[in-house]
Amino acid sequence: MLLSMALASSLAAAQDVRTVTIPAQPAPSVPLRDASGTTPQARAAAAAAAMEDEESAEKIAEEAQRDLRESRFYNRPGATRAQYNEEWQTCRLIARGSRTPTGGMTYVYNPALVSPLAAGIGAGIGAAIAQAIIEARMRRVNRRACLLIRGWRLIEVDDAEKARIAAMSDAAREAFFNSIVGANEVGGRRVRTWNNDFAAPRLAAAQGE
Amino acid sequence: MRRLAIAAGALALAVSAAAPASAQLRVERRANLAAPVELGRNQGAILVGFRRPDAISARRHGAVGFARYDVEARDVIAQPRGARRAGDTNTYWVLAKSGDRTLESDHALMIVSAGDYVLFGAAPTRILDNTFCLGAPTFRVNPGEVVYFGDVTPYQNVRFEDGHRANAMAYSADLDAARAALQSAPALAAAVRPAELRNGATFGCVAQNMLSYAVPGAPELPPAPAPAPAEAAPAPSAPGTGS
Repeated sequence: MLLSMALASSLAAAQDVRTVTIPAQPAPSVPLRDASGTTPQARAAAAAAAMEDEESAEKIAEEAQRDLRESRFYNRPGATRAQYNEEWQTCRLIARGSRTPTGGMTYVYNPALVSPLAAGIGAGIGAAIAQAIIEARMRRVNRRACLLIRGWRLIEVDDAEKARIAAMSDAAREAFFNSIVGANEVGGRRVRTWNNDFAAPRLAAAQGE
Repeated sequence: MRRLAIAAGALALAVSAAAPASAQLRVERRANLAAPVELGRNQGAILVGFRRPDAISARRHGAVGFARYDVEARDVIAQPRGARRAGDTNTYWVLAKSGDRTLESDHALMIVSAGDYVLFGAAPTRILDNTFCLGAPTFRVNPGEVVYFGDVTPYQNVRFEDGHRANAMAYSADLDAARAALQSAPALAAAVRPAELRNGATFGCVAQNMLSYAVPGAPELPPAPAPAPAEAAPAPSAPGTGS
C-alpha cells in the first residue's frame, strides 16, 4: 500500500510534464507472468520489436501525425516536417525503452543484466515499470518530455485557431502543419518548453493549497 | 560444547575473511560515521547532502540514485546476473536516502568502487520511480576520494511560477558543510573534493517518469558519437575490472 501511494504521488508530479497517473497496484497483485507465462518485460520487448518491424517512412509519418492536432502541435523554429517525423520516432523508441537517447540498443530488455531501478525496488514494482512502459499514456508523457528536451515546443492554440485549423481541407491542413512545425513565430494560448525545473525549480512565491 | 562454539566462531571468521572486502554491487546504506570508516582498495565514496532550507522542504525525505556509467557508450553499466557469484567487486547501483528528516541538512556517505557514475534519478520520497535518462550529470570517483556530488532539496508537489504543480530536487552545493559533516572521520573529510560534474549524460530509459536533470553551471558532455547501425547493448564489464 505504501509503495502504491508513493508511486501514485511521485507520478503525480514530474518536471515540466503534467500529471499523469498510472493505476498503481499493490506489488503482490502485479502479474509477473500472464497466462502464457510471459513476463511484462518480455511483452514490452516483443511490442518494441514488433513496432520496429513496421517502421516504414510512411508509417512513421502517419504515427507522428498523431501529435499534430488542431488543438496542439509541436514546433521548433527552422525544423522541417521530416525532422519532426524523425525526432518523434526517436523519442517514441526512447520512451519504449528500446533505444538509448544516443540511438544505441539498451540493456533494458537484456535478460543477462539487472536493471538498476527495477532490481532496486523489487520484482513486483519492476514488473509494474515494464508494464508502464507499454502503456500508451506514459509513453505519450515521456515522448513529450523527450521532444521538449530536444528543443521542441508544444503549442496549444485557442478555440478560434482550433476551429480554423479544423475547417481546413486535408491538403490545406497538411500544408499548414508542414510549415508550422518549423515556423519562427507561432501564436498559442500556451507554449510549453523544457525547463530545468527538477534541478532548478522556478517556485511560486505563494505555495498555498 | 565449548569446542563446538569455538570451531563455529573460527569458521565464521574464515568466511568473513574470505569475502571480498569491497564487494558492494549495490550500495543502499550510508556509511555509519559513528564507527570508524575506511576505504578499501579501489574504493572511493560519494557524499550527498539533503537540505531543507524552507517550509516546503522541511521534514521531507529524499532519495538519490546513481548508476555505474560508461561515458563512451553513453549508457549505464548494468549489473550482470550472477555478478556476486563471479566475485565481481564493481558497484553498479547506489541509492542514497535521506536520514533524519527533522534536520535542516543531513549527509549520506556512500562507499563505492572507483569508476564513473551518473545521476540515475532522484525523488522527494524514499522510493525512486523516475530516471534522468534524457540527460543527467556524470562524474568520476577515483580510489581514495570522497566525491561530494552536492545537495538536493526535496520538493514534493510544489507550485511553480506558471501555476502547475510538480516534484523537484533542487540542486545546491556547500562544500564546507559537506566536509563538516564528516568531522568525526577526519581522514575522510580531508579526502573530500567536489565532483567534476558534466551534464547531458544519457542512457537507456527504464522507469515510469523519464526526465532530465542539469546541474546549473556544470559543463555539458561533448556530443556522443553516432552509434553503429547494428550496435549491441553494452557488454557487462568483466568482474573486478573497474569502470
